[in-house]
Amino acid sequence: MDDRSMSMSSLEDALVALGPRLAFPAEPELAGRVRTQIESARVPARRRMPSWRPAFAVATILVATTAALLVFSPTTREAVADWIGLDGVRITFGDEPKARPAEKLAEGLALGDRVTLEEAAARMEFEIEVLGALGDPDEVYVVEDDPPGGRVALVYEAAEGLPRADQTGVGALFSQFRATYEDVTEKKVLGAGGTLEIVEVAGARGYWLGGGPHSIAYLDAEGEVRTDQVRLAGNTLLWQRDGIVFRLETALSRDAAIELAESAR
Amino acid sequence: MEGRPLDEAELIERARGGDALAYEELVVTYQGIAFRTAYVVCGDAADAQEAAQAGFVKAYYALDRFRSGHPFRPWLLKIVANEARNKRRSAGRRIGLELRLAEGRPRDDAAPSPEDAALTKERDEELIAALNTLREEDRMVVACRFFLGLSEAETAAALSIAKGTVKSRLSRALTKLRGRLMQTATEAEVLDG
Repeated sequence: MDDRSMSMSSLEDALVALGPRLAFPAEPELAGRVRTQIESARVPARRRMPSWRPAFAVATILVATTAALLVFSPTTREAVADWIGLDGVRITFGDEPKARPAEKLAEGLALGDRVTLEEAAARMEFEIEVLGALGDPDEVYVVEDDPPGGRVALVYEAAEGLPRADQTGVGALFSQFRATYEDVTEKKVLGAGGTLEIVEVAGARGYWLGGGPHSIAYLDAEGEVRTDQVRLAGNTLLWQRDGIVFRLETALSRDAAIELAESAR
Repeated sequence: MEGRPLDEAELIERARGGDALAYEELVVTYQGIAFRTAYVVCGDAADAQEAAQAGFVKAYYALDRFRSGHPFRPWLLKIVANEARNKRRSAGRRIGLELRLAEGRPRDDAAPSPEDAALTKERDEELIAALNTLREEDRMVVACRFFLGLSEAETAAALSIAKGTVKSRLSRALTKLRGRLMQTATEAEVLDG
């Protein structure tokens, strides 16, 4: 064998290193589908609305009861990285991103085309929800193909009871997009000051991301990071319903944000 | 590892008792590896998803047959991989897993210099080309062991072959790969010279 010959161990190392660089399709979120399938096969006499079990929060497993439960320390967060399943949403933690604050109302937020609510409704494949407690939004933005299936962002100006959030410059930013296994994985990266809590929003599991600034990047179906949409979000509430992921960014407290979120219709 | 929870046995017991939410936690833990395993077996993302989902449902109803104290993952992967094989068979797909390099750089990777990136890409492509010349049964063993990180026993369960067969196929695959890569290196030298 000459110098260039590849020993078994270096070949094995090369194979291990190759793994993450291979094109593998994005992983689907199956938990909800499996549960639906199992529960729909049951005799209807059983409870219909399951309540979350008491938490066993070990390593990558988290279970929520009603309202907020778990706040992770930075070390726990490492362990939680790359796991949390909300359809199409993934939350990981990393270094604090550099601040790139928005200039003013919805500007610099890369929200897409400014449209009317009616136009947005016509352009989106899914039904848009508005925050009932606030009424019609002040501004509406859509992006039709990024992520696939489109995204709509409703902007609510700061008002009494709805303080202006430093990160967005608006009172509330309410985004909705379809996230299924074919579409988008959202990846959130929290800075050192960030916290994560599991909450319940209108009976569905949600996530409350508070504290320090965190950036948002999207992984599309091919696993590519879409960095063009990276920006900062303030306190953020994430939840999902019927294959749509909802994101509410405000300066509100957790409970107030949940209350506002539950007014969505 | 897939972050195997310490209380997996407890979750399984609860799921056996009909607790779908406990089972959901198991699904969340293993859905990634289940899907990837199904994908390696059937070579199609949509089929792999259906196979993984069907596998999880079947496993739920088969929990009574799961032996307590044994690892759950290989048992589950066997069921999922079986579904994936059936999918592939019924789709009449003859071409299975084809490996290719992801576009762009891998997520969470530090930006390499352009020279390093080009060199890595070239090496990766050589390796993939060599992998794609292997028999599919060998390529699947390599994929299970190196790309999915499955153990020998899990690979055997997923591919429905004996552990000894995993060993022999892997050994054959590595020898062939090494041969192919050396040949490529020699050809490159001839061309350069």
